[in-house]
Amino acid sequence: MHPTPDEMLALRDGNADPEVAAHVNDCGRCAGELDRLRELREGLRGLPQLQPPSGGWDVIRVAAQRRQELRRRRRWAAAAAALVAGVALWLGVGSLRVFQPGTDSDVVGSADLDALIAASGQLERALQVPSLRTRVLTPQEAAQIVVIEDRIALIDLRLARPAGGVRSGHAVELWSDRVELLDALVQARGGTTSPAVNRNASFYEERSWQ
Amino acid sequence: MTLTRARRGDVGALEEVYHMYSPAVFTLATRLCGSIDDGEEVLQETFLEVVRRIGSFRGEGAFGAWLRRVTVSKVLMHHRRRRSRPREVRELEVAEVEGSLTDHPQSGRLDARFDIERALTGLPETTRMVLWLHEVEGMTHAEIARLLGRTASFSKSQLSRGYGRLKRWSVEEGRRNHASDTGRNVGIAGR
Repeated sequence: MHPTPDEMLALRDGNADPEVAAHVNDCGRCAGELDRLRELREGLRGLPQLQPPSGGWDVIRVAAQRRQELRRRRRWAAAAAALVAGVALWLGVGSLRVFQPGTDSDVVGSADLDALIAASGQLERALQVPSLRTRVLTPQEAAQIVVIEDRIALIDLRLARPAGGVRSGHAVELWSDRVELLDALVQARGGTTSPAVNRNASFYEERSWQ
Repeated sequence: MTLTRARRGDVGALEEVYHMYSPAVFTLATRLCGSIDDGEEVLQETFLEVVRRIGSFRGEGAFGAWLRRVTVSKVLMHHRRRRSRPREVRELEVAEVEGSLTDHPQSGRLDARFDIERALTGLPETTRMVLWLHEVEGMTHAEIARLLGRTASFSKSQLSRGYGRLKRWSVEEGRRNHASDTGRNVGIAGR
């Protein structure tokens, strides 16, 4: 009985059962197979390293520069916020709200929020369309995409605050921004938003003008 | 030093990292994907991810190993998005018949003209990934299983299957070459 493929591979890798090793020692066919396995592995390992096409760094460089710029801006914004908070404390202002998005009049129904979340999901699915995801980007497109993705990530961070951390009016604002950014992302990737999403987008556009 | 600067988002350092590692990433991506075009897309996606995530690389392991994980995960995402296979590859698979490594009457040394690169691209994507990651990248079945979200036994069976196919193709190609050599020799002798 000849060894199984697994046993032959184990023998080649030095982990064989002694019985298998003894068989291969006495069997010309199996010994030949062992040689072939070794040669195939050497053949795979001997394939040359490939050189990436020139110009690949250009896309990455633009994305890296945009990210560097964003980091710099965030550092400045954080430093400025810290300074303002420090000054406020020093002046004895008890409860300064540095970031106060929206007002009570912004409070809207949960139906609006649900519609925005649904539109957001729809756009996320649109981004998974293979023709959108699998193509080489230009440096400008890549940079635009990085900026949009960063902004979405910031919104997701805010939305991920513990329950009660985001007021409903503020949540609608955040989700509305998220839908807008996802829509821009779909377009940046060369796609078009579906009519349903466009309807939602125009609905929120109309709301924002009221 | 370069990595420390790259982690802080220094563009010059990131460029050094790109030039240092892009051939390895491109080779890995192309071998795993089976095409240059797909390899190029994965290379780009991998380094865009590096730009985004290098700050989270804590330097606890080798950067190369971290980068390899990022590359493989991008290849997996690429495969999920693009399930349709090139016609040439499908034809190779249809012609292929499963068999053990030792059930073929002809065995022995590999034909020197066997095009292993072409044969590799003809393997199904998961088999090709397992074969390359195990045999060339030196990953264990347990490591491959973690990456693919499968079991070590699955990885082992894919490796056996991959070798079974490569072996069969190499034998067939050897026969074709032998037949063509014999025909040529007969032709020369008959003149």
